[in-house]
Amino acid sequence: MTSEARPQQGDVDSDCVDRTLLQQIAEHRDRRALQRLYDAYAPRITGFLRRMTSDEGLIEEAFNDVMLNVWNKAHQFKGQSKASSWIFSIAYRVCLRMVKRQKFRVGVVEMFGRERAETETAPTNPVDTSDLIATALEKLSAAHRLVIELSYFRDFSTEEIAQIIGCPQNTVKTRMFHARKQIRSFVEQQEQRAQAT
Amino acid sequence: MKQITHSHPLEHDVPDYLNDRLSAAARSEFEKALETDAELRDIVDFERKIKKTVRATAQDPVRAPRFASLERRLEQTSARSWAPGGTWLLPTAAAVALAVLVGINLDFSGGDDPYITLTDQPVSYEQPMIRIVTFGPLPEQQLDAILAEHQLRVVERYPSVNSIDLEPIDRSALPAIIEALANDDRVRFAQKVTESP
Repeated sequence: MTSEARPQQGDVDSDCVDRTLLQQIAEHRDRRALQRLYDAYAPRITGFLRRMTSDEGLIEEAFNDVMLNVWNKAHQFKGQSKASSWIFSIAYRVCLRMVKRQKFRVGVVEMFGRERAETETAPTNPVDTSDLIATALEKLSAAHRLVIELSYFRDFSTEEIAQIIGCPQNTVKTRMFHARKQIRSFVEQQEQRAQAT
Repeated sequence: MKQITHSHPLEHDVPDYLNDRLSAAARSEFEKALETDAELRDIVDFERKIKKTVRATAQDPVRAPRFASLERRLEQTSARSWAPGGTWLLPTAAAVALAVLVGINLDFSGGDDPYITLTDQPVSYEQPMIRIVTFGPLPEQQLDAILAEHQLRVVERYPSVNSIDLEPIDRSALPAIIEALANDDRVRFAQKVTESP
């Protein structure tokens, strides 16, 4: 069975607006167009970034990185994908970079014996499946976690995620499969452990 | 929960099914299979729990990013690119000297991306720099004092980690400056680095 992406309602209209704004940035270096994109994408992209870190300073810095790239590279958007997929492909790379930076920050904090970063704390005594799944999600690698987030937090189709990540659809499917398998395996282990005690 | 140890042939379509992104024909075929296939139903149920958890753990934004902060960065990057003594001076001088030496014609049309952003891969510095980490955001006045005191200039700032990469004007003084900065009350940590984080 093939998973042809079915456009969602409102996608076509907003994509048309976004394409026009990108064109205005590319051709006229129009800052008002950039601001419109900034405001439109701030909740969606910071929400996505917030899934990977709770450091608000880092989130704002990373979101500004995304929009700075949009400003600098708008002329490279060829219209082969939806504008949102193109912008999220930048956000995806920024997000991977942000995860590395978060590790750098944690390293600095640890070096001085201060408190550990908030993101490292796992829920204590997880009891139900949702808690276990939430813990399992945090244990996934960034590459696996991001496909889950793009799919279930932002509702992108497999085809769109492949465009965002810049890989074949089968790679997305494989990453989803392994992520799901790891989550399931973690949940089953914890449930068995709970039953045994 | 039933243990599943192998991949189901329709498993890869589950995310697009749950996101309502399958075509009408694919969806109908998937639902037909769902009616008769208990294993597929189990996979869909578990995947639905993952989706629900992802949605449920989404955090509300603490603060919305401000366009003004991006505008400041736009101004800084364009100013830095052209300021006297800015980052363009040394590479340009080196390029011109090389062109004179080998007698080639330079193409001054410029590259696609004149800006350095945090999303780039770690940048290898041509010569070692000094990275300082401060106890908190460093007031501009204090930074200016440090720069003047040790004859340094800013290469890159990483505000989210209270870190700044600095270049000594007199390179031979690098070890002495690092030692002095390490003992400076305003600085938490100073080290020699060869690339951006």
